[in-house]
Amino acid sequence: MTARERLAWALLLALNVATHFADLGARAMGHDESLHAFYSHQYATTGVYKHDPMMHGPFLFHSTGLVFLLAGTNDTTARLLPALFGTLLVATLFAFRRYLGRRGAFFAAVLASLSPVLLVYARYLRNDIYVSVFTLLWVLGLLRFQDTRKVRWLWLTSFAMSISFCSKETTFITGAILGAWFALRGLVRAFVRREPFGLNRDAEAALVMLSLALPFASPLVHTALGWNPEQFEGPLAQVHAAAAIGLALALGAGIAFVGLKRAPLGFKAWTRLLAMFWFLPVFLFSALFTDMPRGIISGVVGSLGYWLGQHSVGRGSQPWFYYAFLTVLYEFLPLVLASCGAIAVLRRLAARRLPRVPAFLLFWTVGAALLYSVAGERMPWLNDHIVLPMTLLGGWWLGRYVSRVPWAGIDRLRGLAVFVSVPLALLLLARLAWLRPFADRSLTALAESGVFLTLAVFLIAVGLVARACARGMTGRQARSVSLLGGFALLAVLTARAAFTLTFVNYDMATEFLAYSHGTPDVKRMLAEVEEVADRTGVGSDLVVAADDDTAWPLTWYLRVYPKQAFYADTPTLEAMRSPVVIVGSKNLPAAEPYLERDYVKRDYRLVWWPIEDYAGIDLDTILATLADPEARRRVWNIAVHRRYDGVSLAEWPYRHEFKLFVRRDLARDVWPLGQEALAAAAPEAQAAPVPELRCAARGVYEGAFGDKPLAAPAAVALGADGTRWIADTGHHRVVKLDASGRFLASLGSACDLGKGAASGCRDAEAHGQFAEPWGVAVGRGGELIVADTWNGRLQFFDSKGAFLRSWGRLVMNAPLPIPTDNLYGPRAVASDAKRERLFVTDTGNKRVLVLAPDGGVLAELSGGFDEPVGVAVSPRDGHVFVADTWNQRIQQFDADLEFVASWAVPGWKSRSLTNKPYLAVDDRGLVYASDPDAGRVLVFGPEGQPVASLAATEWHGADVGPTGLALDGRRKILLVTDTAGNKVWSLPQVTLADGTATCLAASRSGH
Amino acid sequence: MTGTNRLLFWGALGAGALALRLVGLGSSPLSSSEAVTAWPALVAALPEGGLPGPVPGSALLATLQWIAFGMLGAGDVLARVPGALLGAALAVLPACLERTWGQAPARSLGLLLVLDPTLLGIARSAEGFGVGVFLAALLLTLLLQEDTRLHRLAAPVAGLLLVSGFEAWSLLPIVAIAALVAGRWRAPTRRDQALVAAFALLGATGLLVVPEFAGAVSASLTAWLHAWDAPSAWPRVSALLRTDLPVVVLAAAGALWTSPGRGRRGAATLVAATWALVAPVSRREPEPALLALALLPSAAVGLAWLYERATTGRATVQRLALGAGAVVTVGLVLRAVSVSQVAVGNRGLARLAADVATLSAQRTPDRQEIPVVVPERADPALLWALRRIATTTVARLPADAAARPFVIASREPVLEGYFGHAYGAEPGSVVLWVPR
Repeated sequence: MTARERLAWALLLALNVATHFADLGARAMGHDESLHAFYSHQYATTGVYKHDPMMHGPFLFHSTGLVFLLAGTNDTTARLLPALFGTLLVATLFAFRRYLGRRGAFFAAVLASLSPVLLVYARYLRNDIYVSVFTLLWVLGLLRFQDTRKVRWLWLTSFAMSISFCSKETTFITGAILGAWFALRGLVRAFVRREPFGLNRDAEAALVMLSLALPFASPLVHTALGWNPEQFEGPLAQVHAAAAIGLALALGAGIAFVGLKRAPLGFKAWTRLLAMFWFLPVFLFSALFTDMPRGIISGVVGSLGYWLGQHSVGRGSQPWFYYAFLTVLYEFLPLVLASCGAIAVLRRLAARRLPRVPAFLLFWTVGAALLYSVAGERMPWLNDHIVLPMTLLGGWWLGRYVSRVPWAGIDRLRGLAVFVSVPLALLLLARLAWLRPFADRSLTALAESGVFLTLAVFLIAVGLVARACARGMTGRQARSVSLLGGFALLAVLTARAAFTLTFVNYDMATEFLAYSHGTPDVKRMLAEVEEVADRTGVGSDLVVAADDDTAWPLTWYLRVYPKQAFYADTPTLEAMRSPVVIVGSKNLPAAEPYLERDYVKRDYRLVWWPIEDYAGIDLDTILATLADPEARRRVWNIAVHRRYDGVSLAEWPYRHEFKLFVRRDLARDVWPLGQEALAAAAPEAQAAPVPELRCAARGVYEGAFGDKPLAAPAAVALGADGTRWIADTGHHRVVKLDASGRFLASLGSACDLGKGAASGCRDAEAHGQFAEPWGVAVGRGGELIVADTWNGRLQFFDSKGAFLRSWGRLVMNAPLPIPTDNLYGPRAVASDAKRERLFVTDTGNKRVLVLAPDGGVLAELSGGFDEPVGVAVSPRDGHVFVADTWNQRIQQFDADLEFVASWAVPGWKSRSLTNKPYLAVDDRGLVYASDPDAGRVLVFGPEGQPVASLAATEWHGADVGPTGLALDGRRKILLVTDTAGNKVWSLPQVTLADGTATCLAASRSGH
Repeated sequence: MTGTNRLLFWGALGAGALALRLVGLGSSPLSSSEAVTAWPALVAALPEGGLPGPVPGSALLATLQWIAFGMLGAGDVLARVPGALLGAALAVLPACLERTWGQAPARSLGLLLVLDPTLLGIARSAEGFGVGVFLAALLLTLLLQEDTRLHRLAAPVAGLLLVSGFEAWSLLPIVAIAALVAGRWRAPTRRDQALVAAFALLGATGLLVVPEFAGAVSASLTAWLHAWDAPSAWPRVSALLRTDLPVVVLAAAGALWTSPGRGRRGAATLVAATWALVAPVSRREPEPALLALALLPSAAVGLAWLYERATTGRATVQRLALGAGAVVTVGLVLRAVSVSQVAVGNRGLARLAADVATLSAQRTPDRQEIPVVVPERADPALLWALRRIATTTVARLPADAAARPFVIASREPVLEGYFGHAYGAEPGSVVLWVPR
């Protein structure tokens, strides 16, 4: 080996290191890639792995898991091993110098380095690059064994076969091709040449391969006997697998015993090879003996069994010429050189001088192209297995060709001129073909005509110069130099295709090899989620809700947010309130209604596929395209520049979309450029300072009512006759007083339906019993409605307190959509007697239900509520007001339940479980809102403007918790329950004069 | 010094030159003077063309960039790589002068060429100047070789130098006179003439495929001739001192050493002196860069003189020479590092392009497909910054704004129904108008 040769190989390997390892993490994961990466990560972190034939062999998971353990988990480390194997593949070709020639091996290595298919899938977490390297070692072992008859080369073969079977099921196809070649040659030697079997190296190699790998064909036994080769678990599956594998092993041993008895290898050496061959599959498929015997059955029986089943499925739905199409589009130089190699081999075959290795390479190339084209599943990465033998065949031919050019006597300068003239002429022709000269007399057209003429002159000049320079050469010399110039152009174009595919368009579906691939949006979306996490300070504790429609590749990426709220295809309340929600297009109709108001939405593309117009191509289409200049240009732009005229990337026809919802308050902080989108939604107005108003109380209800005083009374309602119904929440009862505050009756007792009799329930229905009633209202005909909060129901009573009916049941954290009668802590109820309907705040479910008096659900207010508590109906116009507590706002809806306005409440900051705000509206449109934490009642004008912060003078310095509100219009008083003081206060109502709030004087006696 | 050591020295020098020229090459966007060549090169490389740009600043650089963009895609780094690689190659050229000049001056010159702040700045910019300087130096180096076979290569280099842009017209006479003075001039043969023409043609026309680039040759010659009419500002000594003080000091040392009776390397002295004398007056208004370039050979001789004093003189002189050499070298290194970190382009335009891409992704949702309107005769740096936006068009404003694309214009007039964001504080800064 010369120093120049060493330098050339060193430079080539350095180039491969650069092209394989540079910028490995830039590309978003594809669908399958993310599955491989995620399950390797799971294996590395939990130590659990179970072989599944759908995800191919275990080698990838074991090796990638190990890399994750050693080097951490990310996109780059996930692709480190494939990149290493891609570089090794080129280095392995060095060992083929004996078979391809020194130049041939180097050119094969150059072709493998330039090959877009080999390069891109060596930067991709798939098994194909592993299998390619193992196949090369396999072939090397066989060739060396034939030459040397040394068993150590069969060890290499056995190892390479074994680990290849542990990598991917394509090994069956490789094995079939290699086995067929050696078997055919063996037969020819045995029956045509009559060679003694002891000298028949080909037959020996074929027998060794067959006898070792035969158990992997055991699913054929399953199929023949009607067993299911995709069933790996259960005693029956084990018995079937043991029988089939045992039969195949015995058959293999029989073949070896009979076939190799007289061969130099011998049966004893074969048994050692067998042990070595089967150690790795048993070790890896069983996940280091942790998944026995399931792993072995799924590996040995299921690998072929599963993929035979997939043959009829025909995944990918690609046409039979798919690989030829991809090869023409990407592998210009390997294709041309391999074709030249094929012609050379066939010519020598015709002359009965069949070269062993080149003929084998041709057989391998054609066999791979045929078998992969026949197989039902056609995927772009499988092209690796066709391109690999092509590069060897092409390299061999080029090396031989260059060696045979009669270089002597060629003047360097003249030779160089002839060499460059071919690519120059081709480039000129390519540009000339797209010019439209002499179209009209516009300046642009004239300029184009000028360029056309100039290029035409240049083309002629190039031709003349080339001819002149070729005069000093022989015809053969001139042809060879010109041909090499053409190859140089093809090499440049192939390198360009590889570079563009690998480093520019790596995640664009305009590339035919970016199949089912993550779009650039995936990393963009992740960067935005990361920004939300960073700016909110929660980091990886950010709760990200994701669904099943975006599972791959997002499951891999969202592993960094362990507090994920995965909601599959059923939006849950928890998920729909997460700071960040990811929704795939499939689940959008179900999830979007819960998000559209309080979330900012972004559109993204998740995964996309190339346009597959080529699938329907036929001769007529080709001729029509050639005849139409516009069609020609379109095809040229796709083939050379990967540009689709008139097809928008945003509206790419083969894409899967998803949306990212970010809570509006967060989005406002983290997306500066989204401000204008946020402004359009017009959230709450800025609250103004509220003037304080203190009035003397008209009275107070305190002391014993019945046998006990009030305890944390949460609500109060008035009957038409002035009766006061007070929800005595702490005592699980409702107290009835007359207009003067005299105790009349008490309804109910404690009963928590969830605890049954232990909590005091009289029976299963517990009618008339309560668990913390937080709301009361008086409906039509004086009917009393009680929100039995922690029994999750409404109870209806007549005006005398007799039980009428009950509606609803308590269900906490129900999945979305929540059934209408599932209530989760209903806090308040309001009656719109005029329109015969009730409003219930289903607080825990963050909704407000509109009910018919008999309990049927009429509607649900659409408000994007968070902890809705108080609800009130305006006696003036039937408008409905809701205390949207944790959104710190009051929302107003008209009588038709359409949203009218919302305004901020300068309070309600607490997320206390007991301090809940209630509302009341008077006949002038003033809205009263209790603010228990601040010990006040806020009063808003009809437009939502704050007019007063009302408090009784008696409250000064006292511990008060104003909560439930009710207005007595006749007496101009406001009843306020005091949950902290266990009382009910009677305050004067407020009036507005010139915008200033004052306390109204009482109009009648009583309080 | 052994062959291995020689290889190591020049290898290390080349690696250092590469590092200084390539590290952080894309950290700043292309300036207008860089984009004036890069944009037409990109338009020629794009399948769908693009908004027409001005005539390139350098036909040869446009050809190199056209090849790079066509092969590898467009980018700020890629636009500057040809200049940076040639700048690094320039630094190792004096290796070929060791035999004629002697080891110390050649290596001193190599060191200066690596570290010289002016040359470093030129090499890191995507302008034709760097290409021209390299070709001029290569041409001179070839002519100075004793091996006449190497003289044959001078013709292609001269052809390429002819089409390398504006500065080529200043550099050509310098090289010619220097070669003449050094006694290396010979009449060109017909073969030489053919090679000059062929390579000039290939270099000026994008390997014949883009004849549109050839306009740069006449444009640069016209501009160079008109520069003679410009008001004289020579010599811009203060600018030179600010950038290249160590080189000036060394050049003075070189002049001292080569004074009558002291010079021992005739060719080196003659070339250095000629270059120093001719270069400044080759243009009416010489750039400080050109002046610095002119001083470099003399400075190399000065550095070699210091080296000689440091190794062979008396102890005191040795210490003084070592100290002076160290000060000069440290000064050069510091200046080189600071120059390599200078941002040349308009960051505002880069930010504008990034914002357009982000807004495009929000609204379309692709980063490249939002319709964008730019003014007629827009700054090529703006067009370059927007190169990934596939739907950039030119329109008269504000009439065409009715279609509600993104509009890049000035602050006035304010577009109705749009909100604007300025990129730059000055009144003339560009504004991105985004439809509400």
